[in-house]
This record gives sequence, structure tokens and C-alpha cells, in this order.
Amino acid sequence: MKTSARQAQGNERYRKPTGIERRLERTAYLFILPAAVLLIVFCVLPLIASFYVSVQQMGVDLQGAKFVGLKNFQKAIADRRFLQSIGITLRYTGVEVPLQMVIGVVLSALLSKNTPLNKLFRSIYFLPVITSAVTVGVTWQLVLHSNIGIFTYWLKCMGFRDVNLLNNTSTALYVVVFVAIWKTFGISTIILVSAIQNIPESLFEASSIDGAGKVRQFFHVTLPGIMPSFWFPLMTRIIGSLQMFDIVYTMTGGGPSKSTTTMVVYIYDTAFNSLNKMGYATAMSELLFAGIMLITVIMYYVMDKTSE
Amino acid sequence: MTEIQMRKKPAGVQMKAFVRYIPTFLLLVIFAFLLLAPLVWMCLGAFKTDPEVLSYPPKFFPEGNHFLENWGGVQNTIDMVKLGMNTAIYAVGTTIPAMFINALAAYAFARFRFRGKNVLFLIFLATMMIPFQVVMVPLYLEVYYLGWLNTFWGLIVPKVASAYWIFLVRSAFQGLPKDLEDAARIDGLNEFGIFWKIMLPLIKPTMITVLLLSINNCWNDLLWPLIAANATKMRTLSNGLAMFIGNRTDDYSLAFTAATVSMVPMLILYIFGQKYFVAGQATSGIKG
Amino acid sequence: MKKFLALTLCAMMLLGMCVISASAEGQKTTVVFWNSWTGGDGEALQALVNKFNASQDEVFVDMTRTTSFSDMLQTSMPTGEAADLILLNCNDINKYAAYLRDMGDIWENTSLKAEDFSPAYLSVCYKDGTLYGIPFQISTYMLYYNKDLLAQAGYENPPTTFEGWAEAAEKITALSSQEKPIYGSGLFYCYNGQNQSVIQRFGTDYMITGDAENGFKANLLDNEAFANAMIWMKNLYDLGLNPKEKDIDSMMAAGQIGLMTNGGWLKGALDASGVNYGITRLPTVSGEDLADWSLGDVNSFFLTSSATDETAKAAEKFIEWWMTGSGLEAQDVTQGVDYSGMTPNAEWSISMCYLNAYLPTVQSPEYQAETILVDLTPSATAQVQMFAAPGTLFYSDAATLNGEYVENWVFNGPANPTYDDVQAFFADYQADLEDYIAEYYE
Repeated sequence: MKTSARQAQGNERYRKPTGIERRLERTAYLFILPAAVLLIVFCVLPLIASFYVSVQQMGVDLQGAKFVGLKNFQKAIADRRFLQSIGITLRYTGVEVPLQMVIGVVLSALLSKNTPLNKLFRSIYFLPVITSAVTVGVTWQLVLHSNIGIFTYWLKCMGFRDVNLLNNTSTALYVVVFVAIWKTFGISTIILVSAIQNIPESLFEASSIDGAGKVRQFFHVTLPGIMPSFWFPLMTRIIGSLQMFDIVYTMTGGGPSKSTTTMVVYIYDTAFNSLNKMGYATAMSELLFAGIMLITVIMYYVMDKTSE
Repeated sequence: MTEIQMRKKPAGVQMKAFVRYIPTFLLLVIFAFLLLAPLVWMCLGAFKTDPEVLSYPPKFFPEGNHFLENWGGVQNTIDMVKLGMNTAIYAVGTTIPAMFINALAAYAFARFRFRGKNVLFLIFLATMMIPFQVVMVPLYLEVYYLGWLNTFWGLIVPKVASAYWIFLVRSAFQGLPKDLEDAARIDGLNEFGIFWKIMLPLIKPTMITVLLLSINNCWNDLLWPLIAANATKMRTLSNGLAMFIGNRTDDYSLAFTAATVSMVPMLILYIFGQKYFVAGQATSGIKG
Repeated sequence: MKKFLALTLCAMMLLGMCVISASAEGQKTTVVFWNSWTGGDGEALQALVNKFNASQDEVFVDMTRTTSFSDMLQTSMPTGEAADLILLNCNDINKYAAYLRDMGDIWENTSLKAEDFSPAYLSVCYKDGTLYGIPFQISTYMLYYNKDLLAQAGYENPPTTFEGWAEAAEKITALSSQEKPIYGSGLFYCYNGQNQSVIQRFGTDYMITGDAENGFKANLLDNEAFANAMIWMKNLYDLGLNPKEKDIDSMMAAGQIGLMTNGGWLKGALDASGVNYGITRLPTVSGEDLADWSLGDVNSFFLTSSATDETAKAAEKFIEWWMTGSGLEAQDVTQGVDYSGMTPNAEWSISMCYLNAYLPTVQSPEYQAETILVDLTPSATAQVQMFAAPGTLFYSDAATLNGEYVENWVFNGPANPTYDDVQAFFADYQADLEDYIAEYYE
């Protein structure tokens, strides 16, 4: 089959539709309609409303709104803490996404054959996906507690000294990265396993005949073969990482010394802790939204270029 | 499959393959351990007393079985069964229409050519990039004006359409050969019939994945049910859990009991569903 | 696959239907009551609410306690869908003022009298002359100490001075072994309440002084008591007597902490943990009490604008019962004390170790028999808040800021700090705090 995602996406130039094509076009709009209506009403409309909020000064109680124009945006750009949270979010994303993708690809390559053992491993790897982020946060917080944590204790027994992963500014963010990968890489792995299984067996056989080893086969057959499916887990992980909130909130609360305060954590705290900063918090989230858009569009074109 | 291949090979090669598999196997086992240990530790917490959870040196296994005591403590605070049912309605009520509506849109994006397709798709994708915290308050107000606060309508309807599922299902549809629909069209099936009878069954593993992940998302969703349905009678499991777990947890054994029990339905669903999606899409049997 | 699908879905839907049909409350007036008491105190509060519901058949109090209290409140208040009754720190009165309900009629609707409340505590429930709340508890910070560890270190009594705290911490930390690390002192520097309670006992005025009319001022630079507290904290940490850990409560429950400061909400967890602990007044510099300062903020019952006249009246009935109700049966909230014959208010105060603002409770023999409560009671003219002068708009911001700066100081400040080091380090803090003030009062 080998209809790559890019081809099927319909990048062909638009030409005047024939009769049957016009009928198909109508059907397509009809098919999209329910989802489009719901998304517009419950995602786009609130977003537009939030633009209105972002040019006001108002509390979360929406009382005493005062139009301040772009002042909230100016303030955000000058806010040291906001800039710091951008840095933390980018650092987090820059570590989490590549690591998660590499682990996902390597593990899915190792697990692509449908042997009972591989199926068992796949099931295990998917298990953390079904737990709730709140539970995960509290559990890991206690497991990695600097004193009574069982992982810390095991590490101590193995000879490591002064294990205090969650309370050091240099390590806390990476613990969050680890836990986030722990919680989500099952999804990436499963999707990539399917992608590998969809690579025609003949390609592997051909490269074996050419005398390629397992490693070369991985780089020359497996990787190019899964490229079209790579886009989905990559994109969703980038977006998810830039919006990192729940695990941080329950596990570190943004500390120590703000070293894990990601953008959404900072925005959330600003909106709900302060008296009159709903407008300001919304302005910051617009900036976050714009940033995610930008990164996604860039990624989109990079992927487009590489798959051509 | 590998076993058969191995048996065909001479004993030396088989031995060598086995030895070479050992590092891989160890790697997989280490990963499995890292994944399972905290989960198992948490579940075992449901059988411990509080001093056992918070003790030094920390203990992995419980000394006795205190599950029933803990369960009683949980039930004193929240009615887990009732909360579970609320959550089930929310999860299933969202997932069923979501599977249908999102698959329909995904199908259109994957298989049809129409004006504005790329723009529309990008707009759909953009909705994925909106942090929920941004739209939380406007969305709440919207549901309020619809008169849907504290109803299942208010909980479910805003959550049905999801660019995430459209994105995922679209790539599955893209993998299907074009001849299939042409053949069906010649057989006289209308477009919806092709979608429903021919194409949808072919991406079964993906749909099962969506089903499981979507139910799972609702099951563990905290923020939306919390604000859109704050009445006691509408409370969901994750909100019940928030009474034990949060920034001021101090009864860990109860917290872990509640967390473990609330995980059980998802676990059951997962065990039943996993043979479909863990097996991967290869089972759909349509290779190029 | 279809069968699997159909079966799960049917099962779940059926279960769901049962729920919908099963929920029906009688003709009682239902008072929706939200709070954030999620610690061990929440269970005790629920037990008391259950007692109220069982004691009469006109009002049903439907209580929800949650860690996401402010999210729930802030989204639902503007639409009038919030709870009728809430528990709130009086410092937050300005934050929610637009949606709080005038409670002045409680003196006519119930047998409660304004004179029966300690005037200082009642005064923070007013805003611009309107009464919005009725004091529920004063969340006082106390010294928690591990009796066994103190005894092993050779102490009979807990320290009464901060110098004594440091000395005891050193001796207790010395009990540490390879098998079990022990820390003499347990402060979590990012936790504003803990920091403030200690800083306050070093004898400083409010960190934010002034009032709404004349403006507020940050009181950090050239504040000697504050600087001394900072130096003391820093040294404890540098000497390894205080762990670098945010979850100190769990370590206390595991018997690894000698001395710490916290409020009554920790009691439940410690009772369950089996640690042999004691509670007493926090030390001071000289060892003499600072009775002019309270060590905790007032939390009060508030009615929201979401309440109707009917539910507001019903909620006031509940508050009346809370203060004066009687005929309770014994129940084991803590430590097997028999609370029968006490008002719910007295039971709550005594079992949870919270100071009380309701004078009949305070004067009751049971309350007076609790030496710790009597001991903690500040003088009648005492300042009733811990951190900021009453009436600030930026209380939450400032509290977060304080945790941030103190933690940063302790972890990253210079070793063996001097008074001048503190001044240099906190110049930013002062400026930041003044920015906040300017922003709110421009």
C-alpha cells in the first residue's frame, strides 16, 4: 500500500471538481460538520472570549473589569518569572520529547514481533497510561521522598549517597521529565509498534539478503518506514509538554525555588491565587498559545520537507 | 513466529541468537521494573496502615492485610460506588459519540478532497494547542448560559469533539488502500455505507485504542468535572480522590486505597481491550 | 470485538441509570457547604456535620471538602452556582468580597450575640462595616516535638528559646545512624505559614504594615527581628540539622524529626502514625511569651451570594448549632477523649487544638482545662493576624513571595551570614513586595 501520510493529505493542487467530486465534496463537509460545530462552540468561542479577557484588568470573579489594552502583554514580556517559566518549559520540552521519542522508537523496534513475551512487555509498558496524573504525582513524590522514599532507600542500599532528587533545583525538572515519560511513553510505543508492523516484510528480507545487520536495518528500513506515523506522537508530545501542568502540580508544586514552574503552572497560579490577575494570566496564556502554534507550524514544515 | 524461525536454524545459530537477545531482554526487564515498581507499591499501600506507608526504613510489602479497614475509611468519606457510576456515565457518554463523530471527520480528512481541507485541518489541530486552563472560565460561563451546569449534558457535550482523536484516526484511515472504496462504490454503497460497513471495521485496533484512551481520559479527568459539575450528587471519582490526594495528603493508606480501587475498572477494561490494540494494526490484514 | 464493546458499554450505562434514579433528597432545606479541610481535620468536620444532619430534620448540610477549593469557588461564584456556605481565611475577604453575603442578620435570626465573640477575631470578619463571617477557628501554629527523640537527647522539656531549639536540634541530629537518619529540626522553607510563625516569634511587626487608608509598606529591610530569624534558619540548614525536603510532615510521622512547627491539621496524621509527640507553644528569643501576637489566621464561616434567603437562614441555623448545640454523644475523634456534653465548637477546638473566638466556649471548664489552648491564647489586645496587617488585597501573592524568597535565601544565601548579608539578599524581596503593593494600590 505505502500511501504515505503526506501523499494522502491531498497536497495536490486544487482543480475544478467534476460532478462526482462535487458530490464527494458535499459529503466530506457533511462528515466534518458535527465535529466542527462542537469544536467551534466549545473550543474556538471560549478562545475568542479569552482574547477579550486578556485586554482587561479583572479578577477571576470577572468583576470590575477595566480595559487596559495591550498592557497585560507588555507586562508579561517584562515579567522575570514568566520569562523564567518559558525557559523551564522549553528546557522541559527539549529534554522530554526527544527522549520519549527515542525510547519509544527503540522499544517499539525491539517489541515489534508478536511473540507472547513481547505482548506481555507491551501490556506492561502501557499500564501507567491508565493511571491518573494526580495519583502518579503523589505516588512518585512519596517513592522518591528524600528520606522515606522506597526508591531513594534502594539507591542508598546500592551505595548512592545523599539522594535527594525532588528537592534539588538541578534535578527536580528531570524527575518531572522522567515521570512524564513514564506515564505517557506507552502510547507512543503502541502507535510506533503498529507502524513498524505495517512495514512490508519484504523490505526487511531484502535488506537481510543485502547483509545488513540489525542496527543497519533499523536505520535503513525501520526508521524511514515509520516516519509517516512519527508525526502524530511527536506532535502530541510537543503540545503536551509545552502545556505540562498536572504532574508538576501534584508532585513538586512548581518548586524547589520555582525550578519546575512551567508556563501553565505559573499561569494557573497567577489566575487563581491573585486577586485581580485573571486578565494578565489570560494574556500570558495567549502568548503560550501563539508559541505552541508557531512551534507546531515550524515542525509541520520541517516534517513536510524531510518526508519529501 | 520467531520460535518457528529459530527452530529451523542450526543449534549454534539458535544459541547465538539467544545470547544476543540477553542484553535486549535485560533492558526490557529493567524498563518493566521501573514501570511496575511504583504502581505495585501504590497498590500495596491499600493493604498497609498509615505508619507502614510512612516508616523508615520504607517497606515494600505490607505486614498484614488492612484493606478492609482502609476501605471502610474511604467509604466513610465518599461513596465510591456512586462516584464510580457517575464517572462511568461521563466516560461512556463522552466516548461513544466521540468515537463516531471524530471518526467521521477523520475519515473525511483522510479520504476526500475538498476545498479548504488543509486550512480546516489546521484549525482543528489548533484547538489541540489551546491549554485548557485558558478556556476554562469562558467555557464554564458558556455551559452556564446553556443551563447545563451540574448535568451530564454539561459534562459530556463539550468533551465529545477532539482534534486529538481526529488526528489519530485520520492516520489510520490514510493507511487503507484506495481500491477498497472504489470497489464498494461500484457495488452501489453510498459514502456513509462505505465508511460504516467497509472502512471503520478495518481500523478496529485504532478504534479500540481510541475507546480505551478516551474512557481513560474521562475517568481521570479532574478539572472539568470539578467545575462543571460541583454538586455532590454529580461528583466523579477523580474528584472524590481529590479529597484524599492533593497538596495536603496526610492519610496515605486511604489515598492509595481509593486510588487503587478507582483504577480497577480501567484495569479490567484494559485487560479485555489490550489484545486488540497491543497486537497492533497488523491484524487488520490489509498490507500493501 | 463488537460483543466486547457492546457488553462493556451496556454494563456501564445500566450502572449509570441506577444512580440517576436513586438520588432524591427529601423536603429539607439543603445547605451546600464547601471547604478545603482535606487533612485529618476534614474527617472530623464531616463527622460533626453528619451529627448535625442527624440531630434535626429541617436542614441538610451537604459538605464537600476538596483540595481544588479555590478553582471551584472562583469559577462558580459569578454565576451564583457556588456553595451557600464556605470556610475561608479572613485574609481572603477582599478577594471574594463581591460574592459574599451580608451576615449581619445572624444576630436577629439566631440566639448568637455579637458580644459573645472575641472582638479582635470578629473584627477581621468585617469589611467596610459589614459583617461577612463568623469565626470558625484560629489556625494557630505550635511547636510539635518528638518526645522520644528529645528524651534520648537528654531533654525533659521542649526548648523555649530559639537558641535552645538549635542546641536540641544538634543533639537530636546526633542520634542519627546509618540505619535511620534523624533531623533535629524540621522546617520547610517554602511553606509560608511555617516561616511566618517562626519569624513572628523572633519579635517582628507584620511583614506588611499599615492600613488601607494610609497605604501598606513592606517591612523587611532594617527589620532586625526578621534578619535574626533568617540567620537562625540559614544556620540550622547549613549545619545539616534541617533536611532539604518539602514533605516534612511525612518524616515527622516516620519519627525522623525532632522539632517542627505546624497547625492542628497535622494532629490526625500523627495520632495515626503512633509517634510519641507533644505540642506546646513555639519558642521565642528570650523564652518569654509574646502574648501580643497571634500565631495564626482566623478562618470563618462565610455565606456566599449564591445562597438564597432560605438557604442562608438554614446555614445560620447550622452555625448556631455549631456554637451552642448540645446533647452530642461521645465519639472518638482523637486520643479517646470523651467529648459528650460539649458543644461541637468546643469539641472541635479541643480535639484539634485550634484556638476559639466564641467566648462561652473559651470560658467553658473543658476548654480551660486544656493547658495548651490556654497557653496559646494571646492577650485580649493582641494583633490577630500573623503575616500581613488586616485588609491587604495582595495577601496570597505576598505569602507566595515570602516562601519563594526565604527558601532561596536558605538554599543559596551566603554561609555564616551576617546582618548585612541578609539586608543585601533581601533588597530584591523588598522591591518585589513594594511592586505588588504599588500595583494594587495605584
